[in-house]
Amino acid sequence: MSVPETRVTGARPADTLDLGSYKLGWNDGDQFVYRPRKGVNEEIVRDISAHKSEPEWMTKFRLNSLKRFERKPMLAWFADNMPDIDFEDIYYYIKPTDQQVSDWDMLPEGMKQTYEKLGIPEAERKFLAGVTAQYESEVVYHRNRDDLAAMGVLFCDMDTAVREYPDIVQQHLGTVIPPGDNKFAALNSSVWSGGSFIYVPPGVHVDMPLQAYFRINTENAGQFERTLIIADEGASVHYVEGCSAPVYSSDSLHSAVVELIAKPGAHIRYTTIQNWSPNVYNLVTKRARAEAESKVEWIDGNLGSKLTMKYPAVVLTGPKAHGEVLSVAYAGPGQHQDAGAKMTHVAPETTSLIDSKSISKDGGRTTYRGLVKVEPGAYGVKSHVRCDALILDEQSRSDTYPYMEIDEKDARIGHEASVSKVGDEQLFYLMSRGLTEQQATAMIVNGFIEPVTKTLPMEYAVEMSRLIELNMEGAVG
Amino acid sequence: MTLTTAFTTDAARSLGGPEWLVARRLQAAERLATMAWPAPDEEIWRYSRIDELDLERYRPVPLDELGPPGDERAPGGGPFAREAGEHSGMLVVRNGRVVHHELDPGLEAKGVRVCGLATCGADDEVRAVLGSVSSDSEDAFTAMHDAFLPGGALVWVPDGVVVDDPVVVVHWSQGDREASFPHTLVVAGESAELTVLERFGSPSTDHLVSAVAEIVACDNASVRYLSVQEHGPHTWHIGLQRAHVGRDARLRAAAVALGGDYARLRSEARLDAQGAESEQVAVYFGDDHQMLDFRTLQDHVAPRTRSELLFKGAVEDTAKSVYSGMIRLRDDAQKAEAYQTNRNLVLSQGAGAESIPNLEILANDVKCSHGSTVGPIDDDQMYYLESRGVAPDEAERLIVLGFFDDVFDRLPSSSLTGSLRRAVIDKIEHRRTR
Repeated sequence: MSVPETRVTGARPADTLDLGSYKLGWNDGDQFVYRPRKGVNEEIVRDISAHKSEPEWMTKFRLNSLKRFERKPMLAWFADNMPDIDFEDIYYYIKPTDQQVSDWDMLPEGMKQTYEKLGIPEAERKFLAGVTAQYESEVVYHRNRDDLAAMGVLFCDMDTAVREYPDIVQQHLGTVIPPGDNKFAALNSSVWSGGSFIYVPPGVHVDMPLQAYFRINTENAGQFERTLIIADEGASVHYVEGCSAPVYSSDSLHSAVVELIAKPGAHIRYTTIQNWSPNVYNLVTKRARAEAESKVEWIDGNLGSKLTMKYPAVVLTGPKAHGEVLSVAYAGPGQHQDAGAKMTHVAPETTSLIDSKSISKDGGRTTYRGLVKVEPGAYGVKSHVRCDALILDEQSRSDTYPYMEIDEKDARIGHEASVSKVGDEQLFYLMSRGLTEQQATAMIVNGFIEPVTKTLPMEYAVEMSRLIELNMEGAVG
Repeated sequence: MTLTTAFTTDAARSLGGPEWLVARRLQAAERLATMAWPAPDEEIWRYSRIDELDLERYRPVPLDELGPPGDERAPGGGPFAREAGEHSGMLVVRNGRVVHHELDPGLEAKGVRVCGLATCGADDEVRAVLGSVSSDSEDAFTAMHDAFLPGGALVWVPDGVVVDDPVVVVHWSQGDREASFPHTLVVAGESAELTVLERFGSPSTDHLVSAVAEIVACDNASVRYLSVQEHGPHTWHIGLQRAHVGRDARLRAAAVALGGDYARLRSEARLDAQGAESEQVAVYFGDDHQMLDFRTLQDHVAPRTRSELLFKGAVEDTAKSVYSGMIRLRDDAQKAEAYQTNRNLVLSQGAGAESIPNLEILANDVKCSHGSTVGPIDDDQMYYLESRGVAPDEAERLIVLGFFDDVFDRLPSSSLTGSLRRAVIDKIEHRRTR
């Protein structure tokens, strides 16, 4: 299979030598049909809700969330990580176009070109069952495979879901991540727009991944998508999202809330390859509820952004549920990837696995921050956490903050971590067989992250490996 | 914080002693007044029981109970002094005041000092070192400690002197609803060697202990240090043990924590120069509703330094334990090696263990790893023993003792190992009789 030149990661071989540059950093000029002024307050929240002609309950949900956002203090370690965030200097809602289309050709020209450059339409033809493309605050393109629709699979943007499936949305929205969960979840709950909604009926297996692509275009824009995925009993689904934005001198904010609900026996795999431009603050709350004998996997690639703080969580509420987080983080110049995972074992005989790989280079900083919590009564729990960090030069940094809170006698919990550089013996082995130092380093790094890349659809895995290779150029282990 | 409790500047002044010590206390009281009192939402106090501490309940042990410095007519010192075993020197400290000291005359002739900080230790040389280690890691409790320091234990070994037998420091704290502030300053000069054994005890009274042990290992020195905490069940113990380790110097620090209601220890080692090595090990066993709380730091400032840490604990009944450790490899710590292991056994439903082994790595050419486990007794091990005819109770006891054995083997002095094993067995059997 030929690999498209540009895809979610968007790296093109032609300009590979410009190390450390961001390949998806163009902008399309300001394109919008509606944009309230900067800042967030009751008036703006009401305005967004009115603009979307939302039902009363959603307006209330937003306003209650806004109150929580205003009341919630900023956590100290959040504040330490981003001293310069100004909530009043952000556009919370930008409506890019008047209508959502299901044909790429019907998109405004600039926007269409953007998605062409990102490779989304081509990808859709090749290996995706359904695609959603979000530009600024609204989903501009959406298509679901007809046979899936016939089986009762619902896949649309959240705004449409609020209109068309209010019962399902109202029953589940905010049940995994309540608006008061944290300051950014509260912010998202008050100004959210776009995002994906998926419902898979009992017993239905969606055999190809469903995908969403998120793009911020405007300077100082905030993107606050809200995603809700429900896999009913015995169903399975794989959802993939990609993200990018232009490079501006001032910062943008991406603060999504993603809720997954795996009903008994269901299986959800959620893959994110985040390649935001290096001026985006990426502060995302992602949490899944895993009911009896279900399985939830978060596969998390953090390559872009200025600062990412993201800790995908699984709350294991049913016996024998299984949660997994596999993540790769890469931090280059000026980047801080503060990522991790959180497993809360509420029910007996639940199991979890966290495998985190991070690479820091050219002054980048990677942080693993995680929590494994075992509640009293959750007997027979097993959990294993593994974090490995590669630090490629003297300027870079890696931190590990793994929390384990065990309040049950019969729980087996393990954590291990290592921090190293690229081994001299490994380099010597490869170089004595004719590889250059750079090739050898890239190969070792790719081997290092393989446990994660092997879970990706092949096209993503190839792109991911290629992107890591690009970033490794010039690296000396 | 404002000193609205009995911990006032006047109280700090009234504890007597030499002028420099009074002045030092008053300075500390001023610092304390500007500090915020710890709260559980601070990361370093997370999981702790700090919110249960009501300072209003306590007052510093007053001068008439302490006795003036140098008054050593009433040694006593609780039961531990009689169990000191082979030793080259001994200090008995009651409520932070040295009440008895003795030292091998041969060592005294070589310039070794084992005595009270407020008496023989009151010269410029000692005063320059006093507080130089703990001030690097000050919090409200160490400031409070300095503000009410009545004296303390000094173990000083000059350059090149090797002290073979341990120096034993016995601390006894008593006084219902009172607080005491024992301080130990251990200084090993260049190429000096010594072993210090500290024991902390208290009766079953409501008492607050804020202890500080400062250890300075000068270049190429070797310090072996063991502290054993066997407080009564109503004592709160908040301790700092911190060492600064010089070039090619070696520190072996061990802690055993068995007693207290809430007992917290910060165990810290800073590796200051090339070739410095540290080893920190600990055994802890919590029962009843005790909480044993450890915060460790392996701070690598210099290249080619090495540190190793092994903390092993067990909890039963409704006891809780906290292990929160940090390996910090700073920019210059290239070629450093650092290892950190925490293992926890949870023996009863209702008991719990938190484990947070952190790393902050700012250098790239390093070897660093950590591991941490929490779990019950291994079924396979139980099965193995039981299938060979060992009764379940006995099997559990063997496994728990075996679990602790590698740390017991690494204690800097073997003289206490037998009685510490016995103390662990008592705790296991205590649960069964309840």
